[in-house]
Amino acid sequence: MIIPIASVLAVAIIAFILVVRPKDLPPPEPEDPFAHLDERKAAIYENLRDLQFEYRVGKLSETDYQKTKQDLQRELAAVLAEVDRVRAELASPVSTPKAPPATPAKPKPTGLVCPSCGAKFEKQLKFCGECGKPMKAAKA
Amino acid sequence: MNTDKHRSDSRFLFCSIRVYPCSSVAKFLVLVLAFAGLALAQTASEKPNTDVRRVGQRLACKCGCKDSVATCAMLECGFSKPAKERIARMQAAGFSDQQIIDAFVRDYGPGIYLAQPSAFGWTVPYVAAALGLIGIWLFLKKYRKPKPLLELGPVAIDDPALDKYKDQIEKDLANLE
Amino acid sequence: MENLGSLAILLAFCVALYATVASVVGRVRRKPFLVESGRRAVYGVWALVTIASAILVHALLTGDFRFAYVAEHSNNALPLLYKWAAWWSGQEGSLLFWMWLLSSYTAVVAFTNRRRHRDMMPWVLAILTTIEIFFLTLNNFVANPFKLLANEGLIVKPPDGSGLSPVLQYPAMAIHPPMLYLGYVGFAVPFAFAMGSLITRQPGDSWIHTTRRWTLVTWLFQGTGVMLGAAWAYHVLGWGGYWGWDPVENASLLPWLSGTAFLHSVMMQEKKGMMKVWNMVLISTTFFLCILGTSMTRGGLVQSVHAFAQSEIGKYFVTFLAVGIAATAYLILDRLDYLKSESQLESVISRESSFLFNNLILLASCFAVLWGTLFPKISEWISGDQISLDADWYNRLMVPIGLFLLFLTGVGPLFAWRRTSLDRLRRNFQWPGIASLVLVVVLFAAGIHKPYPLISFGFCLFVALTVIVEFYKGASSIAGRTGMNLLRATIELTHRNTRRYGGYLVHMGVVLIFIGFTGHAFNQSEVKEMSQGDTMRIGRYELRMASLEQGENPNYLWYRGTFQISKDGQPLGTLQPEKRLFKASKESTSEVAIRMRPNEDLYVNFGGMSDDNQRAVIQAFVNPLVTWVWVGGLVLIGGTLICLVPSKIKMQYARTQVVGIAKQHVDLPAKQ
Repeated sequence: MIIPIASVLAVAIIAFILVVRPKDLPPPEPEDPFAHLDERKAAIYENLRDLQFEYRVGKLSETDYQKTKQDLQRELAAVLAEVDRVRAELASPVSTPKAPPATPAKPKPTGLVCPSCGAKFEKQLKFCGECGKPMKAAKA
Repeated sequence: MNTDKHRSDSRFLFCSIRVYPCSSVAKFLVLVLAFAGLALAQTASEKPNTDVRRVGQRLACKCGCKDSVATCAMLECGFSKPAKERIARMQAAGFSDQQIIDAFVRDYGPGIYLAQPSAFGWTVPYVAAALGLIGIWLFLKKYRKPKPLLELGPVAIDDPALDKYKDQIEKDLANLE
Repeated sequence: MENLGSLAILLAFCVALYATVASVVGRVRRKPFLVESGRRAVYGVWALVTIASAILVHALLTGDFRFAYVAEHSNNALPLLYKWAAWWSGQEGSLLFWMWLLSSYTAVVAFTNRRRHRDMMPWVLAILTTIEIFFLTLNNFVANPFKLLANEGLIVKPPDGSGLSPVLQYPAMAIHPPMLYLGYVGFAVPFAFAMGSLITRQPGDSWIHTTRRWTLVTWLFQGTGVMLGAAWAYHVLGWGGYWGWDPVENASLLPWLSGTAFLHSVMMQEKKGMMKVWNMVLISTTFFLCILGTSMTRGGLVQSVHAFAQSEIGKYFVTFLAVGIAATAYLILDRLDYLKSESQLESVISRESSFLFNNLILLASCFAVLWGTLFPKISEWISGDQISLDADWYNRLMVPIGLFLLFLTGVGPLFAWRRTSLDRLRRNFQWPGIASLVLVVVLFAAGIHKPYPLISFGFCLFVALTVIVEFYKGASSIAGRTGMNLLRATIELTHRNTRRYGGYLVHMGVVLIFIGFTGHAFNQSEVKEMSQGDTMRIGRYELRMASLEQGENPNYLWYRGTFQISKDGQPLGTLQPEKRLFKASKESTSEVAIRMRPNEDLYVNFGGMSDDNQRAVIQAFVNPLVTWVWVGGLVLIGGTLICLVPSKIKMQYARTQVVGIAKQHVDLPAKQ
């Protein structure tokens, strides 16, 4: 009795692990090359919000407030500059509109061949099914 | 199959919990008093006192706790109670501390002797804390930004290259709260 | 069944090995199918370990005494709850329980992140499964819970087991170890994410955001476990205290201390991108302290400090710790460039600096406790002498450190991020400082002349005032602008930034706990042999023994004293401490009678019978302010729960758009 149960258990586990069909692969979440910059940006905005609040409740002097605010804005500007740089790099063939809130026009994805790993696909993909890098450009 | 090991395990578990290495001054007092109470039936000279405690602290209790004879918290401990009585008897008979400890070492082996914790024990944590302070000092020195030279102005983004972001920042700031 | 159990953990061992290899190879060679297969193996390990655990629990519940583990830790008469709790009461079972928790956590991590962090996840899972491999090695080859009892080659089934240790038969004991284990195991997850992010050089701090709640919940479990342990000691052990610097207690405190340091210093990374190396070091330290804690609790270190190296299982733990620490250290040193700080300190007088000192003190206390725990062993190595450290030794060392930590708890929030001018700082300090000085003077005049309690009470008031002022200022600012009343404004304030104000509540809990600790300096105790009609006095209380009974039931013999209590002549009712002598285990327990009040506890313990068996040895304690330790613990838990609530204010900011996955605006929960 115990032997069949044990065998069934072992076979079931091994089959579960080894039989992976293509449709079982979880659809990859699009990788956002700006994610960490957005994180940074969010952190700075929060710092600014906190700063404003602490100034309002009197924990900071006017001078401290102005100085720190200026520092934060300078950091924010640096992050925004970095965003623009990355965007320019990403979209070097296609020009994208500059202001983030404006909806950019959808450019035609060019590749059937992944520029980073060279895998070929039958239809156009935003991200490579092999390596997950964006199909438009190699840089991620 | 090592049932012996299992047995000792669970016994140990019990011991470590029952025989809490307790003490602290107040608690210690309790213990001394506890033993005083327990020794009421016996002669006055057998009451644990500071002399007994002094010697007892240098002897490991073999009941399974990791305490000394003086600090074992077990009320009817099969080891520390008779040991304390023996210390008291020997002291009454005029033996010196060292002689009493030697007698115990002779009977129970050198493992019973507990040395005085050296100054090394409590200096190391403070030395570590001091090293940490030096670490903080080095950190502050390394990451301390040099005083900015520019004058203060209201929202002046000095770098012209970054100036173009000013509008966007202002807009986003207005959205805050 | 036992064969199926053994097979399950052996198979789990193989599957965990496969999971590690498949994840790493799949990631390095960029084979998504292999990575997916490795991820499934994680679920496979969980299923197998769950089957093994179910078999062991089933054996415990049904009393299958062929199992050595069941015979050792359960018996027929044991209540169902404790039969269940026997799963984590012995070495083999608790290691299996550890493994089950770890595999569950790993499966949850694999599931919740199945579509995220494609670069990092295979490594995260590889690290978690490596830890699994270690524990499965122990489960399979060192402490197998499925061993059967045999006599000359024949399996025997004793009619009854030797039962669970009576002191463990206490409701808190059924939840205290799982709480601690949830903490010990939980820190493996942030550690794995930290290492995964380090290996793959992830841009940004996504590992911190992904694991923030996880770390906080784990820290909460750990803290709750420590508090429950203290409560259990106080209510069950009968020596009148809650903390004895026992190695097991120390082991549970260590990761909590370093985890606290991590929770603070990680803010520096989130806010300013600084201290990245340090945070890596802290989370690794915390994780390895958890492993060390497990080895102390279950690996024989605690059995006897001197048996550390000799114990077989201890060797495995030491090896794992040595290899793990070396690998982590190498990884961090190799990637120092990736961990470079993004910004600098604007001023020495800033929140940042206060965090540095907070970290120093927390780690110093952590180190002091660790040092004290290992010192007997170290001393034996160096001088060959055995020594014993009593609680006095720890108290001498820890009281100044603890007071300084309390002080920093109050001072830290007074600093603003980046810079605070001295003038403003002085203004923030002024009123709480003056109030505390007044309190110290008043207490001194009232007759408290011990320095530590004076300092402690002064700091407690200082911290409490700074926290209250923080709430008051914030709430009145909101009240002024929205017209809410102050109470609603306070709730609104907390809701807007749960992390900060929950954190302040945690600080408040710490203050209350310290008030309780300080009461320890004023403890009183008495011991007396009493027979019926005798009285004893302790402090302002008088205890009169109204009756001394004894009796017997199938499980144990008992002695019970009934005491009429009066304070300053006013009758206060009765207390009934009891002593139980268990027949099966020949062990005794105390049912302590405690009269708990906010100002002081009256704690009466039935110590035993006198030599002539005629009188009862009664220990009585008056422990001032102890209740505040438990109240503080609850406040601490409440504050942490508030930290876990998402903040109400969502920040609207323009998210950078990527063609094809555009999102106009993303609501991001505000973080402090």
